[in-house]
Amino acid sequence: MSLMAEIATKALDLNIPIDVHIDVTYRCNERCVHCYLDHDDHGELNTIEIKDILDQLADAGVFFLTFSGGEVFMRRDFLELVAYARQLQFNVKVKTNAVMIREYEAQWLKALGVEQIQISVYSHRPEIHDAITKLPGSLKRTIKAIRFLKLQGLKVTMANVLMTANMFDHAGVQALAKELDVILRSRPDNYPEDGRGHVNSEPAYSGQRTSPGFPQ
Amino acid sequence: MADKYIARSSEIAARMMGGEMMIMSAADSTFFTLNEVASLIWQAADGCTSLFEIVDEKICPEFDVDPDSARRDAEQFVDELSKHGILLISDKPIAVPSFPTSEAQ
Ligand code: SF4
Repeated sequence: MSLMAEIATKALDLNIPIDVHIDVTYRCNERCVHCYLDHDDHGELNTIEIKDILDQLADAGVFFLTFSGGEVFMRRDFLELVAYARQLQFNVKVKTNAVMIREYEAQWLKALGVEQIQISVYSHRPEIHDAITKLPGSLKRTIKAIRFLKLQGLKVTMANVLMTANMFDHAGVQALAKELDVILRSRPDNYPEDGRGHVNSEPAYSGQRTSPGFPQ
Repeated sequence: MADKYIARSSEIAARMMGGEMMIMSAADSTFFTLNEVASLIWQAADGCTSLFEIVDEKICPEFDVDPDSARRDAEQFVDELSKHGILLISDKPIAVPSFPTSEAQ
């Protein structure tokens, strides 16, 4: 048994939730066609409330922590939350569209010892990617951010959601991942029927997507 | 034996589970588990408390061990962890980096 599998088994035996995913915002700067969020203002936890949750998670024995949203960098306190999580010694992963990551953010993510950044890229062609995110210029900014992160020596993975709109671009996305030296994950998987999830679940052959979409 | 200062690398994640400390390095994703004594040293590695102070004040009273051999074992242990980049060693106190706040952005 690998050390990782041993730890997972031990955590299960001890009733420890070793791996936790936390969505820190509903807000997003993109409007992806497949996203299950409605992006309405449902309110969100403030800095102190999230830090309190992180304290509780650390006390409960959580080791792996994934920050996601919405777009995490829409929160002005996001780096502060990552810093707090790292002070609590979580192994931190971040899911983001990376549009708001520049040198400053990349440097901090590195300095804070973030394990991995997962970034959504739906196509190597701006006209396809930007049509999916509904944010003009988003592919260009996302690729620029990936370069900043790689320059810092951070581990980056690219996530692609397979759907009708990008069904011919998988090879192009693979080539882009190779060029940027990042790992590619392509996902046609199901996500909760939250927000717009119940209206956004047409199969690939009749609609926009292959499955209910997921944020990041 | 010369005393030294030790600090946890800013690139590691760590958590106590069932009496053992799990440690993972973000730099190369290597994974370690530390026993109870090693965990105590690890937790006390704040960059400003010297290794011998840690051994004398935290290890010896707790485990009833001979100070000289405890210091030798501790030195060996911290050398080993520093080779993997998960502990920093210096003959001077080590400054811990400051973190960003929302006002900094
Ligand atoms: S899928 Fe992610 S990036 Fe796209 S709109 Fe939803 S939360 Fe934003």
